[in-house]
Amino acid sequence: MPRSSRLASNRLNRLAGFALGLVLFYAPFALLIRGFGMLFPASAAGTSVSDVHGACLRMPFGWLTQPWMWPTIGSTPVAWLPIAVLPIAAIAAGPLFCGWLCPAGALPEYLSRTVPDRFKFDFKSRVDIVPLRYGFFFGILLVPFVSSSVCCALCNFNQMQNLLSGVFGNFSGFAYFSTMGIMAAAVWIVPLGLFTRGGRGWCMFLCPAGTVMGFASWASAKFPWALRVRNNQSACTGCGTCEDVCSMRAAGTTEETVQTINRHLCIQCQDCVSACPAGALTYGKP
Amino acid sequence: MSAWGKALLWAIIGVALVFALGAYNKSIAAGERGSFVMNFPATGAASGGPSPRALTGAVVIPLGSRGAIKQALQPRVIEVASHMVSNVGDVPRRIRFETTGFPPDTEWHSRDRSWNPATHEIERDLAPGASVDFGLLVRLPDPLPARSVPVSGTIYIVDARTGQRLSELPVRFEQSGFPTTVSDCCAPK
Repeated sequence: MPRSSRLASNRLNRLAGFALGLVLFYAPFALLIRGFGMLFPASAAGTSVSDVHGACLRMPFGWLTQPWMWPTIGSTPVAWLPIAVLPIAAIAAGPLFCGWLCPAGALPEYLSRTVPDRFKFDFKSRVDIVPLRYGFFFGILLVPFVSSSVCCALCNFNQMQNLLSGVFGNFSGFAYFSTMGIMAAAVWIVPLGLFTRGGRGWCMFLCPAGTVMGFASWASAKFPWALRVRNNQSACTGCGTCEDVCSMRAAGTTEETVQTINRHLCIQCQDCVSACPAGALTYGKP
Repeated sequence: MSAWGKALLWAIIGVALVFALGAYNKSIAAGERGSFVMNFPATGAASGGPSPRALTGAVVIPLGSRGAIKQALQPRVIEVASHMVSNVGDVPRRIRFETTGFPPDTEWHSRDRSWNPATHEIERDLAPGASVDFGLLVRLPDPLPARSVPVSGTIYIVDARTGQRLSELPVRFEQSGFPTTVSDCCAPK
């Protein structure tokens, strides 16, 4: 199969994965949240309306730094999803959730393909993405102690839920909005989406769940059983195709034309594996 | 500068940017959304019960601090909401919400599955320690009455079985530039 077809096929497969993510996490389906609700009927997932808020991927990180919220973590089984289940899954197989299941990350990525690259900002060439990403993460954890939490104010999952509910005729999510909510929605889709190389600027900087999974993936990449995108540097021709197709700006070549993958950022979408003309990239164990 | 020094600098920039966003959010959030904690049955003299809100006795929404985007696009709709309406008593209770003083087109909502939008009742027993969320979308009159408190109301939690009032919380929308009392209004200049 020609590599352009392989890349298109991989992206179509990922699109199916994001559709599954919609069905699992977002109303009106939210099958995963409903399942949690059936397993734990007295928890918030069991007593509240099932939508993406039932499996918040942001607030539990804020709760970790607030001891008075620890009982809430204990009594909210779904809170373990972002702080334990997804990081453990990332240790085993990389942040597949980000690359294959998260519609809130996928939407700006796919939309950004409609904008020519010459109009896009490439953070990779201007910014040290990884430390800035961890800086944002620690900022999100610490900011409640100095001013006001921004977990909910900067929630793209909520915006995604509002959009999807609107598609299904429920416009209650648009009945009220805040200044920060509008700003977050606009920044998520426009500057950090449409006009960012790869379209995943929000994922790079403002998703605490993605940051934690990225850290877990980096820290465990050399474990002998850890599944990751792997590079065979001797086969690499330094053509730069992997860099062109990488939505997280994680793949690239050094000055010595040696292919590298930034483990903090790679979301295992495997677009680079599909696109590499030399077959120098695979997904598997070391 | 070393690679580690540059990385540290970028990380500090990241923390600083979030702190700046947090400070901005704090400066505007109180005027756009009234957040409260409400306990029932109230045990203190202040209406909200033993909660942080009991210290002030009311939710105050300073309309002048709304952010520019809110002011421009949706200045009249303010949410007053809580994730933590909690049973601090020692018996399970079924509760209903009532209000006085809010504009008639105020919308009520709760994410609880037992919420009955017609009766404003949570149609299940809330065990001691259990919490529900509750909120109002208040549509302010246009134009706003020319006084310092153009709208004020009170949220009540009522025992749905007995009708007994369990807790209450005053909510005040405030705007600056108007006299706060009659004596201010009529005092000689």
